[in-house]
Amino acid sequence: MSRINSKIRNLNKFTLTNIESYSIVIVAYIVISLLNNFGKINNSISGQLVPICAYIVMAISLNLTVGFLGELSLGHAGFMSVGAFAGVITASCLQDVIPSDILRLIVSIISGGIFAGIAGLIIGIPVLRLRGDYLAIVTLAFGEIIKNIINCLYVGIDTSGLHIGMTSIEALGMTNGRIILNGPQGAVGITKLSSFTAGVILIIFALFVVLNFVNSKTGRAVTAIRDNAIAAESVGIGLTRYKLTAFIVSAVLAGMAGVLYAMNFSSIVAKKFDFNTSILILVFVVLGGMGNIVGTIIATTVLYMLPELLREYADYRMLIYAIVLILVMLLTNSEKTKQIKEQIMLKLTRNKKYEEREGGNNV
Amino acid sequence: MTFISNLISGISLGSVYAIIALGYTMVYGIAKMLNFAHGDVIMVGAYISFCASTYLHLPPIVSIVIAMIVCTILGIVIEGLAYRPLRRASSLAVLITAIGVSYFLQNAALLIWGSTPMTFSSVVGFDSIPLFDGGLIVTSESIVTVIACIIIMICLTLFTQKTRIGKGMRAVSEDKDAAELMGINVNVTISITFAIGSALAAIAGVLLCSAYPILTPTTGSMPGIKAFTAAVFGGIGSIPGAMLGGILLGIIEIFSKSYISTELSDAIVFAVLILVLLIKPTGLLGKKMTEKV
Amino acid sequence: MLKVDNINVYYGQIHTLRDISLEVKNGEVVALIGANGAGKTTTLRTISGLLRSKTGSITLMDEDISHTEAHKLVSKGLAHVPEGRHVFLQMTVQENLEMGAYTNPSNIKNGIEDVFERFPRLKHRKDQIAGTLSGGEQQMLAMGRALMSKPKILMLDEPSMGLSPILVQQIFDIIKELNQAGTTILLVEQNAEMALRIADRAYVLESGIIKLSGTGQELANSDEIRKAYLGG
Repeated sequence: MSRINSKIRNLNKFTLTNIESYSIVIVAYIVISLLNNFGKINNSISGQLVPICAYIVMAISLNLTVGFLGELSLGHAGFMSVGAFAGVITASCLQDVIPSDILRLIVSIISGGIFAGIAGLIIGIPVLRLRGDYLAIVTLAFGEIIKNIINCLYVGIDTSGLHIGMTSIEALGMTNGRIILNGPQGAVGITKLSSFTAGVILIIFALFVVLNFVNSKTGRAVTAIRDNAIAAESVGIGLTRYKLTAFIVSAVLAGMAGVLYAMNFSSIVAKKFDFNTSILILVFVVLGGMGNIVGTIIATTVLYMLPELLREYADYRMLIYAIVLILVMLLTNSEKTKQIKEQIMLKLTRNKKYEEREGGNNV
Repeated sequence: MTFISNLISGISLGSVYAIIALGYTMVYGIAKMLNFAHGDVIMVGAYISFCASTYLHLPPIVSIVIAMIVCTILGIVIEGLAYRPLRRASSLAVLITAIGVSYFLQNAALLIWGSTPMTFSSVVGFDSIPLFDGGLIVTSESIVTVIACIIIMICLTLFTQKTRIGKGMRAVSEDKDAAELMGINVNVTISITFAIGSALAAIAGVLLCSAYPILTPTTGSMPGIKAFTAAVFGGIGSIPGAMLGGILLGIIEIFSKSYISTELSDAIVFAVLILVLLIKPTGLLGKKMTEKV
Repeated sequence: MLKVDNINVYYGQIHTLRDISLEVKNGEVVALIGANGAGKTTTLRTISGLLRSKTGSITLMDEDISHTEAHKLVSKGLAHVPEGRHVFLQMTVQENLEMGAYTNPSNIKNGIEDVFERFPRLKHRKDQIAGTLSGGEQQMLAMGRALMSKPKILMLDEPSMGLSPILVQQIFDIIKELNQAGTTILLVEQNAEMALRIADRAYVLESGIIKLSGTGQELANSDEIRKAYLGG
């Protein structure tokens, strides 16, 4: 009986966090849009709205790998990169075919997601055979490889179709037509399609995908894997398949975030999506409380804005950022603070037990 | 002839990676953590040596010693303040802290020394050696780097195999609780490991900047990542592994730069790493670890 | 010799040891018996400083060691052979023994001779990596390593675990010999029968509480113990 009760309690708790997550995003959207309409938000911040949305989607998707799967990925920006450039190329190709900006953005985002998903599949199959720090270092390596390859990629389009090469623009042999991707100079002449609204819709989509995934049969299997891989295996949960599914879903969302991000600028280079970007997103996820989606969203927003807010301290801002990061980690994870937390928890549970016992007597 | 010349520069670059990788591997072996800030300690070492020789006009060897002392202290302080409180925390928490330390060092260096690249003058006092009537020039930096690497490797091996503290270090890296029960002060032993690793980082920084003389606050990060890769490549926790991994990585990097593509050389290095890890998940000389239930 | 007074230990929110008090007098063999998870290992780990008690005190030869760091206890005469032996698998037998005398390196040479005399099998395996030894040999190595510090009191955590009956007998014979040579012993065992046979006194631990205590003989004859631990 009590087991059913606790199940119901868990379910309620889950749907509650779901509603919480969605409503926070929607309320934030309404408030910011209103403020923006009345010109209450200064330009430097309103220019950051789309990147913040993209990073939130990135953080939500990385949360799936790190928070729910429990595997450390240091190359998440690589998927963002694949998505971004696939999206840019798609949008550029469809410029004359689909006149509607919104439709073209949607198609590009889907395309970016698909390509990143394929990259996720190719990378996930070997990577997920490894464990722990080795897995981390291989994801880092893949991220760097993706960055390097895109850095050498030349793509152009003319009447005869799409040209792809790895040496130079001239080697593509185009007579006329448009250059889309110019090696180390990156993608140029991007038509800005992203908007804050599109960003928020993508966040809600990502939330929908991740929350449903986590609560699905597969998702519960993933949680089981995280808590104890060997135990999960011995009761017959196919480890690799579930991990791979989670990894690919995570990659697809990262790819979509990449498209959103790239379409906000007129040009974008592969170097933008390097190891440091992967780390940045990882920091958002960890500080947001791994596996905690609302926390991730808040942490991303705060940490992304922090350097902006510290702008007046110009030179010192990144130093302050580093110190804040270290202090937060020490305060949340060190032995001493843990002991204090445990003592408080102990007192709380004691009281609760006492109350429960009292309640039991009444019945 | 170009082949041999490439091989020499590969071994030389690889030796720098090997020295950095030794630091990574020792720290990983004992504290089971990826010390991401290790690469930035290299940069600090290079700056200190640069300042000592440029502003104080000290002879190269003295400036290197000063750099080593500063880095040793830095390593001990970082370990004591940032990592020690997290000894029992999740590895992810420690990793993020290490990233924080890395940001901190880079930005502190940016404030102190600015973002303009400094031209590092080589610490090596003699000229390059032409062989085969000038057909092959072996730079003095290469010679010094390779010799330094070999000496360090021998000293470290002797230290861990023969001395009491070195053996204690191996005991701590294998089983902290059992080591503690033997009367080994685990915290002090870990501090010593950080000290040695950081002193090595200082040497690596000076050698790296002698061969590639541009010094900026981010100079250390990419060699740091690559050296870490080298440590994993050779089998993390293993001293000969770090050496082998570092040198192979250097050779692969220089060869792919000159025979395949400069832009893709990093991608090739990382691709080789992935291949090795897939075939032998614990690296070339790594020990097999079995996970207990 | 060793006195544990009213200790309470928590793992996170789990209260593992409740008000444990026990005493080991000079020259005694004291056994601590109980089922899996009763808190036997936790008790030893708390005594040797790897875990901390929230209350009470631990005294070793009239000195309060409740807050002494684990690594300082070896030179105070306390040695602990942990559960599962925990020899250094990647080091040689010789190196393992050297680690045992880490705090007192001058003792290495004659200490090793003594250990080899007591455990002749180890002598033949001197330069072998500990990971290649059999379970029984590893147990001997772990005990030998602990003896290297010339302890006044030796704590043994499940020395019989995973060993064949003949080896168990051997190990217990050695424990007896060590005791006769003047080492005080605190022995944790699941094999209650064997433990009670050599123990002067024993404590029975159940779910973190001391349920019974008495001389080895008394406990071996008690109905309660026979039912629960000695198979009828």
